[in-house]
Amino acid sequence: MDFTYHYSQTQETFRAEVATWLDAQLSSGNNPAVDVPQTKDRPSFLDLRRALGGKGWLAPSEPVAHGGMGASEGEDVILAEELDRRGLGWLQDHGTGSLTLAIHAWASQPRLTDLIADINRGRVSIWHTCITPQEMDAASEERPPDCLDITASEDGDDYVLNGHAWFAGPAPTPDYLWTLAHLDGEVSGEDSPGEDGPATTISLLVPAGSKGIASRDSRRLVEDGPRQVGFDQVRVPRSLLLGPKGEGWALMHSALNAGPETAAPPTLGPAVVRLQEYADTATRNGALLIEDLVIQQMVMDAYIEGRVARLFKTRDAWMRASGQKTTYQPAQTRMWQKRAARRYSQTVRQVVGVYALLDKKDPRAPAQGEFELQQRKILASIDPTGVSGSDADMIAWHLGMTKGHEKSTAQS
Amino acid sequence: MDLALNEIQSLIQNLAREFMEGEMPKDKVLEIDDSPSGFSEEVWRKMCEIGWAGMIIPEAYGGSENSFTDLGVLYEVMGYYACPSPHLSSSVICAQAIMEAGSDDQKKALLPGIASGQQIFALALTEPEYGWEPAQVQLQATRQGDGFVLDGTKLFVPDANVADQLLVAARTGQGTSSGQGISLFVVDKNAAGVSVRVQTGWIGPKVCEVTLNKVEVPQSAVLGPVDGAWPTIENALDMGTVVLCAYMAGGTKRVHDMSLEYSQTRMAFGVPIGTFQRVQDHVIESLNQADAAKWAAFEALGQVDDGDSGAQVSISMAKAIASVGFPLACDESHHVHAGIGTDLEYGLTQYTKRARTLQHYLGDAVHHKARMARLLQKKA
Repeated sequence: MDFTYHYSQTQETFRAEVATWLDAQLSSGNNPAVDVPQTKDRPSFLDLRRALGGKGWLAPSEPVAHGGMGASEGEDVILAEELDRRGLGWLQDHGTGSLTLAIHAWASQPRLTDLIADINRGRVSIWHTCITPQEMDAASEERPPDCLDITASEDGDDYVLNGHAWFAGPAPTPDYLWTLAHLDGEVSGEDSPGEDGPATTISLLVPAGSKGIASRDSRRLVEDGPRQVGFDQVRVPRSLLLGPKGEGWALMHSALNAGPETAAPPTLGPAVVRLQEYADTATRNGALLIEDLVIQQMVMDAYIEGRVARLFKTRDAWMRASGQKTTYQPAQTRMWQKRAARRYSQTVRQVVGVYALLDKKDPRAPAQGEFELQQRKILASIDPTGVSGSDADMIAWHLGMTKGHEKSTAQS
Repeated sequence: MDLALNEIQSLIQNLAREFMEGEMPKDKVLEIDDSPSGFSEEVWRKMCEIGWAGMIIPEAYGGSENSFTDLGVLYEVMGYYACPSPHLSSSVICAQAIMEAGSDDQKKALLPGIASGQQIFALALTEPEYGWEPAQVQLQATRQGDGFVLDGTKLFVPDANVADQLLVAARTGQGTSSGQGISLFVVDKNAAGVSVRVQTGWIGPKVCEVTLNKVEVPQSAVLGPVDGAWPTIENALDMGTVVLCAYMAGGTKRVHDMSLEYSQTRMAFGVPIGTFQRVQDHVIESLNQADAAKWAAFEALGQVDDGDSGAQVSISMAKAIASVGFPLACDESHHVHAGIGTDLEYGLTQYTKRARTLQHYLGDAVHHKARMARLLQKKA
């Protein structure tokens, strides 16, 4: 077994190019990884994302025509590594990976396939429907969550949407909302929504500027947090239907389950490294923190969680690269990462103490306020209204434990 | 990057599965566990006939010189079936110590017996102040004439009851650091003054109290340099730990499989209990622990084979993960199984017992995390 990537001279040259470019972008000191919270428009984040997209580096393995760079596996990984080293790994996906997967798999309309390039170039921002674990538990591949609260009626060449839902996405304002809706009045009887039969849902990309859309603006811990959006007689052309009519839920279920096809970042998470460095250099009662036996254990727990997350990512990347079909693994990786992040947050508060609460504006903030930022970001990531909260349900589904997928031989 | 098994490893895995399916059904494991020795000579003989006892030993001494990853593949299967054997003590830890520190004469005399399985060795290291650091080696070896006299007690020694020879770590000097002043001796278990008692409790594999009452050994029994054996011991422990992690990963996977299967077949309120979210959480936790243990173990095994400078950290990390994950997966499985899980015939308790014993063997999570911190600090 070989857990390491091996790079050619050409690939190492590419690495140098990427590193130089990224360092130049960040040289202003305005690191978007730090700037994410509490800024209204976040220009540095969006600018950097567009700049990356312009070079085909947001989705490097996509063909050039689709906004990528047609990268080999090695180049893909190099980009992930270099971004990850600078705490920017999240820029490559940030919620749009699942959508591009879905468009690839399902879209037949030119307008949608053209959209892939714009997404991959960072030119458009997408918010996607959030589904809670409870909803997921009640759902299955064929049957959508009962509490899906948006309906769609067909009217000429349009669908008319009504209702409301929670959405999450990377930008302060989206260009499109990727939503799921119950189709009204088309199918009846045993096929109707909410019954055990096949569901009648559609998956749509809704232009965010459409008349009748209202986003409830509220202050959030971090800008990435989910937002509630209302639909009041919103007209959406049929050309923005994603996948066949009636299969919206199956599409979204499989796309969210597949997860983004990002390369495995082989570096240890920068957050863990930051904590280690802090414990290795900061002193308390005249001794290095890392020499305190209790703190030592906590820091190593964080290190281990980070390394296991990396191992899981490596496994997933290997499975994809070797043509194996992943099942529960991507959801497991996400679940592990989120749990590790939650524990990390606790560990930081214990190891760094009250200083962990100081943000970057305070001159006494350690690590330029990144510990403080992490506290808020992690809370947002464990918000149960995010699709990622359903990782356990995804795993259970793959293990054949969810309703409708239980082992047929079950007996008392 | 390639996490696939190579051809040899696939052969080892298939053969091991076939062997364990035939030789290690759960009632056989229970029978062996319940026997006074916790050892089946018949199973051990069959394992040795396949050549498993000599896997890491050089061909020149009767072994097959496999990689540690090859051995890890075998151990993962052994763990899955809860196979009890003195293999780890004899064919890995003691063999490694002899290969590293033994003189040519000692290697010629000792390794072929280990490789064939005709001689079983056990490492006697831990003492009443239980631990895996050199400072905890206090048994005294005093020079007497051309040899030494060993006097003291070793505790929690696996396989000492079935061993022919013991490798005994003893303090021959104080040294300036805790790693100095320790020597390693080959002691015949039948030598005058050696007594072995199997310790009692819910323990598996069995562990022993070894009493050395003024045991005289010749100079030729010293393995490696006098006062300087700790690096050899530490390396042998590392090699034992990394394959033990594969064993524990296999056990964790089996516990998960049992939980999943039970959750899909046990009905409550007209549906399988696995459809209940709270049951799913237990099953998923065991899966997460099994996968974490597996990949951490195999990454460490690969680093050992490659001579990677980060191998020690990875080994300790793998053991810290397995020491927490295996017992945790068992606890989760007991939650899923409830009453039937405590039925000794059912098979789950054989894993729970091993998980809780192996959690400590070769160092628990606290020990290994402290070691990781030291190693990482040194590296920085």
